[in-house]
Amino acid sequence: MSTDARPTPLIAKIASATAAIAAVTAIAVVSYATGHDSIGKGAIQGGAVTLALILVLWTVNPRRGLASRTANGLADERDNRILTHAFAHSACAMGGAAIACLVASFYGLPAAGVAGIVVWAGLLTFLASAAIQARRG
Amino acid sequence: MRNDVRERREARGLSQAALGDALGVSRQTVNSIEKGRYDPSLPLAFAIAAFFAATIEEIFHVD
Repeated sequence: MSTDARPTPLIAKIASATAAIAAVTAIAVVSYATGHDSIGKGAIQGGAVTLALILVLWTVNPRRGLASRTANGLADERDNRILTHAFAHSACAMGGAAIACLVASFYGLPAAGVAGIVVWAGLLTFLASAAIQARRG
Repeated sequence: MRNDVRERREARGLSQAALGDALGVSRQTVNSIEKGRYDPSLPLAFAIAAFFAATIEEIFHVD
């Protein structure tokens, strides 16, 4: 058969969700303990949003689309190809952003800004590439 | 690459989702194959041919 994808077992979902909550909690605790309250707040907010999104994808019918199939371990060969290409586009975007930010750092762009721009460039490019490829067929 | 997947599927009265379930792929993949926007892998092409009791060359045609 073209794909041997199997649904992600419930126990695996529970374990991964628990691990994610534990990781976010650890980051928050360490951040607050070291006086970096904003980092702790960001970790909690970002982790909560991400976990909520994943929980929604786990409950949505896998037939809905690429994201729900991937989250439920049911991605077929076309889905895998789309994700591979999306990762490649993301890597190119992050490389270009890194070069641009390197030049910008000579003009005063702080390191935190460099990191944020590169990461967001990669994330947004990945999402856009996957969405466009999925729609085009 | 052209193919006769749509005609053969409709001749059997199957929906894209039903054919996808039979082949182990998504409805979107079946739709993309029928529209010629996605070329299936070799294992999937063999699976399609076996499902329709035909050869790959009878279903898929090089432009």
